[in-house]
Amino acid sequence: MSRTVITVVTLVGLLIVLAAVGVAAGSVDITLGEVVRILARRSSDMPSHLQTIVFQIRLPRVIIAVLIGMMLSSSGTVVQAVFHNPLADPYIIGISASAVAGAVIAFLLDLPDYLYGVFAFVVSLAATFLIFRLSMRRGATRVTTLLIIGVAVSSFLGAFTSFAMYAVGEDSYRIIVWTMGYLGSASWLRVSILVVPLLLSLVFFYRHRHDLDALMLGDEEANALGVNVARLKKLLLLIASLIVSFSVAFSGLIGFVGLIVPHTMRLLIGHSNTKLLGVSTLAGGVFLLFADTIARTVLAPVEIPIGAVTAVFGAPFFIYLAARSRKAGLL
Amino acid sequence: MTNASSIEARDLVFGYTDLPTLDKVNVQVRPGELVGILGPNGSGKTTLLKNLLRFFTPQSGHITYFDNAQERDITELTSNELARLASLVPQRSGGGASLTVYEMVMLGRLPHMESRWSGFTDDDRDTVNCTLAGLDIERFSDRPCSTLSGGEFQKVLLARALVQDTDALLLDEATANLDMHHAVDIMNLVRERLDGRRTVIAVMHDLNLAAEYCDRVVFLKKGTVRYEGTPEETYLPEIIRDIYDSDLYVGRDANGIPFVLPRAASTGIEAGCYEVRRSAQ
Repeated sequence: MSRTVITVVTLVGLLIVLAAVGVAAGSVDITLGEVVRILARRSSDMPSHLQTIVFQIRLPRVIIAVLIGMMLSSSGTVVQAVFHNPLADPYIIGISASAVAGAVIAFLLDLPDYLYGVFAFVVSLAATFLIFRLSMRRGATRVTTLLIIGVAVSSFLGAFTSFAMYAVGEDSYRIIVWTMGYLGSASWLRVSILVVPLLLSLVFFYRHRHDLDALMLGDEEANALGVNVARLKKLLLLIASLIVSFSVAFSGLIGFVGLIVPHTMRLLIGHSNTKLLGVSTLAGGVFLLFADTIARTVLAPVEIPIGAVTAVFGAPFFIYLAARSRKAGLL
Repeated sequence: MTNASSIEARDLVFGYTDLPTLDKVNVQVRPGELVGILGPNGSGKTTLLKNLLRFFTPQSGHITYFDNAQERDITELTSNELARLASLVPQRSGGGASLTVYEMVMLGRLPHMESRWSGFTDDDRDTVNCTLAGLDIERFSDRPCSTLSGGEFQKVLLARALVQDTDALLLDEATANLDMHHAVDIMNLVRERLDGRRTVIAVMHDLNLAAEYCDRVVFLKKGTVRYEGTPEETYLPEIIRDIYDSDLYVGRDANGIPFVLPRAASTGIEAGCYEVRRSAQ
């Protein structure tokens, strides 16, 4: 238990430090001291544009980074338990790419912002169940099939997205942003839209934390422990697609978070979802905030797409995991 | 027909494809009994167990559980109710080897959990600790299951089924991967647990282990019950030959317990002086 406590305390500490750095960093210099004073509402002597920058631009962005990170990481944790597979990550198996396609459709139809999320959800849900069905055989998923189908689905829908990009012409920067990940359009409205699916899903996942452990044992044993396996798996995938879709609709494709974070946390606190879910959700927020801060500062004032930053960390990690799974005979 | 049963399968038909894997199987288990399900590979033993646990749904036929002398058709039971009536010890766990022993065994309390919000209670923790101590594996409590030996891990799976606190314990080749002394260990623990109410159904490969521990055995072949009776009644050269399509040596030890050896039959047994009950034919 103490390892879990140490991990959580460290993560909370990191979150606070990174949040402060994230609010302070940017093209307009604001010192950490000023940030603290602005947040504590002791800044009447300071220029008002600084307050606007902190409250209307940087703070929502920091919060969005944390929320998106939490969504990606918690959905990754759950999808891995459902597929009994350490390599199952919404990005890798094609759920995210299908959400982008859904969001692009909403964009092409000129629909309002929140419908991007809804369309992303509908398309990714259909894709998720297709992937699930095709990769299941006799009650177990086969890793290779899962990855191959993921690649195929991602390529197909990616082609659709590229096609849309050319069809749209001038406005295509919106779509490009989706394919690379971007948190710059953060606002309080977006924060409040994202909080709803995140909270609903976390409550649902928390309620089923013990069932997730049972699912890890395989369908037959989970069934013998009283878990309605088929129904629970469908519900979990539904909810996981929901949050992946909203995260994608609002911030584009940010890969590997749902892969790196749960795995690192498993090494630290063990595999039981009763602890892992909460801790990796928190760690996902910390990690994406870290990645976003790097994306904004390394080449400032130019901003690197955040998806590129997470891929730099994530892709080598994925190869490492794949090599390990191969050794264990999983691949 | 005489005593009440504990589990009853009637005219069970189940197939993965058009060809039935189970063809009108009738099995009845009485309280206090350890029944062995025997037969060659592909005879439908494990499939029968999966039907009893409703992992598979039979195409036709009935499965009845007796809960405090009350008849319950399996289709009326919720998943949790069924998991409070029957527990499973698999041959090896499909996954979850990364869980600690304690976490693994605790999952056996899942069907008894009253609220998914508050989780396991102190009672659950007591039950788990007692069971771990009873099986002499409490020292492994915090170790990941993957670090245990085959025999130790099998005890963990048994512990998980025991804390589930069910009337029926179903073993699916639970001793198949074990050295002889570990297999005997597990079977002793299983036998100890039997009382007037509890039953065990064990799918087994090892005929000799079955002869030692089972009150009754059911021989399946090609999805039908060919013979059933006590090991003394059924371990006869002609029956063993009929089931396994091969001449094996069937003998009796000094206590009259039958054994089967993998060598050509011919010596030692006077056939015909044993009463054999044929069924389902």
